[in-house]
Amino acid sequence: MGFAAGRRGALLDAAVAAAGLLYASLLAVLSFGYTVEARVFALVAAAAGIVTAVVYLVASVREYRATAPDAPQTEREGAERRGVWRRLLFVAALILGSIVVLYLFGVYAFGFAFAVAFLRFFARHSWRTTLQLAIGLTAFDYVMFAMVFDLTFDAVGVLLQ
Amino acid sequence: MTEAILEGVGRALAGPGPLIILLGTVYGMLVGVLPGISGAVGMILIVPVTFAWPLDHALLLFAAAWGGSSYGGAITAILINIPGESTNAMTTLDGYPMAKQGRASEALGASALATALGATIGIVVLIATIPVLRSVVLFFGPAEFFALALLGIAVIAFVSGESVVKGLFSGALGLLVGLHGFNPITGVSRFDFGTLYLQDGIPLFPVFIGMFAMAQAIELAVHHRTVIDVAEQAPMAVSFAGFVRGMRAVFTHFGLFVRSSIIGTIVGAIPGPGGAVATFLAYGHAVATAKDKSGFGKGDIRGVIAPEASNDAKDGGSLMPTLAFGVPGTVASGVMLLALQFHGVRVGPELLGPNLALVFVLLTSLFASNWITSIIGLLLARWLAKLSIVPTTMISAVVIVTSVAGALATRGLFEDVLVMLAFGVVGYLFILRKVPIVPMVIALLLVKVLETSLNQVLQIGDGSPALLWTRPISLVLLVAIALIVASPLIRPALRSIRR
Repeated sequence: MGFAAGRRGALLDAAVAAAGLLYASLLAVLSFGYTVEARVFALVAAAAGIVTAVVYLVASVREYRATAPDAPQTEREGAERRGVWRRLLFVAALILGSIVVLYLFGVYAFGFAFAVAFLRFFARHSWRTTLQLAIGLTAFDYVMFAMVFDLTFDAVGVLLQ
Repeated sequence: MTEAILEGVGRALAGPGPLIILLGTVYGMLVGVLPGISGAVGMILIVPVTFAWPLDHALLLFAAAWGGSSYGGAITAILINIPGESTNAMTTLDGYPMAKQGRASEALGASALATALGATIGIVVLIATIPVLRSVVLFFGPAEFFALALLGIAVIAFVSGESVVKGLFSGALGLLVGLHGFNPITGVSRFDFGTLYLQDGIPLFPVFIGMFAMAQAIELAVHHRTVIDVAEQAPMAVSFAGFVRGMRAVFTHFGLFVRSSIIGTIVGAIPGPGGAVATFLAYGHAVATAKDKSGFGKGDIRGVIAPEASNDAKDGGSLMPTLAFGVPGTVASGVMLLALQFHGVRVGPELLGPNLALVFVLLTSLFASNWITSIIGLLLARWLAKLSIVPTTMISAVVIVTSVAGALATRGLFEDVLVMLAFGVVGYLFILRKVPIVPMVIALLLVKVLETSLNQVLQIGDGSPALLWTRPISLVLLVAIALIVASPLIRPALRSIRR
């Protein structure tokens, strides 16, 4: 995980801790709007969240300060790091795009579209392998959900309803 | 108890039971063989399939998949030096050198028998302790349940990652996520932000799928694109005579095998440490007690028998706290607990009393799958090992599509997919920064127990929590929690005193 190591890793730790702190604090404040019975455990959990998040945040900041600034990258390291970022963004875009397909055209269209896009354009498998796996996966989903378990997904595939 | 055993075994073997066990075992083996996908993820992915099933059948499938996954991982550990599961990592130390020496069959035979017999010992110990657990659980009131559930989270947070702080943070986050929705005491919806969706709380299955399956699939796709170097494979020739030699070795080193199985069962019974710790301890024990240690790491069969026996024996052990107290020690037992809760079964005195036959339905499947997986594994070892060189991108594609479909199948709500994706991102960040995921999901499973117990304690004490430290068992558990939580401060202080 070289692309999230060193100072950058410590910063990411701090961001995760800060998000946790914010979430725990929000629930702690909101819990005062409920009755005592509903509030007690919520406050206990929120206190645990706040304390652990603060300790995690402090540890991350200390680690950040104690870590020497990242040394200039070699060309190879830089290329590796950029490659990971590129792949991460590619996968995120594929998933989000496919979720739109899921909403508009339903679960089977999603499965097929995601498998084709992912295997062909991200993983660079041959068209033959891509189509074999995409069709197989979609068919498996259809057999399992539609035929064996008789499940319908009315919440998705809005354009086809 | 004999009646419950007979009824449980009868229910497990009735109707489609044997077929479900076989299917679950084969599925578990495939999951175990595939790199990067753990048995727990495999179990989570089949959860949606079982929504409409009777509880018996759902438990049979989960237990079979659970039992099937560990030997699948041993095959690849021995033949191509890639542990299918993290729990098979110790097996590579001697299993792979044996395979390189042309003794793959011997290692496979030894590991198959150690696996099946080890699991049997774990199950037998579990059955033997059921009467004790039934008595112990009667001593547990709300104070003890609260303290034990909290201890479970603390222990898991302590052992499941490199940093105790990160583990505790993960556990606390699980408690917070579990607060949304209807409160078990007042029936009032909390923290729903005015949405109907959050009134039911954040659904557990999509969270599980997101945190484990989705996060792991993204991580596999982005960071592990390389295919295993096929040139590194050991000779895959396997022979029946070799299998028999390996199996005989288990009896030659029977004392070590039994001790390793007991280590596995004990470690399994402690919430948190899991199979990796059990196999590490068993391997360490094998080395420490051997008169001739020179062969370890170079292809000593004892280095295969010890970790494999403990790895499968721990499953029986891990069911003890799960079934008696509702505190799951591993993700796999957590999924089992979730399935029981989903079908309205209450663990503890009820499960160990009137519902005891259900425990034996589960154990029959776990027992059978461990033996079936060993037999099938031996017959198909060469072909199964070749599955390990499936490109990880293909596995990622299958897991991502299945995760989305699985989240949707939970309740048919599109929002569940979004929740699954959101927790997939959280899980990926956790993997990236080595924040353990297990404490969070276990805490999420225990929120209701914790909140209900705490409120009962307060009701009994007229608003005072004193019951928590006036009951001896609860006090001991609370002291243990305090020591664990304070350990990041205590350890450096002790170190400086020693200096």
